[in-house]
Amino acid sequence: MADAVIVLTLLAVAGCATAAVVNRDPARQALVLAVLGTVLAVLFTVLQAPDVGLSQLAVGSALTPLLIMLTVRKVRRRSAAPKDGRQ
Amino acid sequence: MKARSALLALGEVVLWWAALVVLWLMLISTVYTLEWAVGAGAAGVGAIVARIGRRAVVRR
Amino acid sequence: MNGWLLAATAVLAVGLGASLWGVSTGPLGRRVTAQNLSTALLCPGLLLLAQGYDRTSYVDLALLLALLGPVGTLVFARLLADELAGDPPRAWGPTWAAAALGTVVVAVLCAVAGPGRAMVKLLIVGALLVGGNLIASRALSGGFAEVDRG
Repeated sequence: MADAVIVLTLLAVAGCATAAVVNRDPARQALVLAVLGTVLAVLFTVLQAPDVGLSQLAVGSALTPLLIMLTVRKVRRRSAAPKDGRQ
Repeated sequence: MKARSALLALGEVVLWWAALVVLWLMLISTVYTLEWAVGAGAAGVGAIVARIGRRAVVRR
Repeated sequence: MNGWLLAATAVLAVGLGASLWGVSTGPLGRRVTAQNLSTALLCPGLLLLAQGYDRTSYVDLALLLALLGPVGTLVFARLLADELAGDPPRAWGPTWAAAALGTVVVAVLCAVAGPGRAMVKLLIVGALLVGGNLIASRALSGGFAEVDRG
């Protein structure tokens, strides 16, 4: 019965990872990835590995989304400028 | 005037340091000498950074 | 399996299900709101897990999540400001509900812990959780527009 919470978080990780792959827009993928980072930290806690969970939280909840969103913004600006010039 | 501003700066850093040491003592699980030393050192660095940050935000 | 773990499982089931469903479907505004609420719903779950496993050091995870979750939401609020400006997500009902859940869990755990440093730590986690959640929600609904333009 104590394994119920492990099964629950494993299912959530599987669903969240699938949702991150299925979404096509990079900004929405980054949002799902931020949630996935948090859910993974919960999974590590449930599996009695709080040290791994701490580093996962530190990287996954704020740093990875920040890097992805900055990259998306830069790519969009770069690809928008020449298009406007041509049209 | 210069001594006064230096005293004010020192007071602010000491205030930040005291607050950060209290925060550290609240967050650790067991209190012993090494924890005190590490906490006091980290709070010293944090206090100086906090003063620099506050001045950077206020002086715009 | 003790009662704390059962409560943690229930909170995590609601939190995981709601945030997963919200973040993977619907318009962009709802997804950002769901990402914000995932922090507010999973942090009480982590606190209950720490109590259930009887490991006080697990509270550090909840502390870090309460600190960094709103930071992540503020990243999205800042970098998606143009997309969200047309239809700013205002979800004060769920926000206050999540804040109430966090407050209740922290209050119960404080009552169990009794006065002492552990209680102060729980109160710090609760203050960070509720305060960060409210600030992130306000930023998402365009409350800090003058900062975004800066």
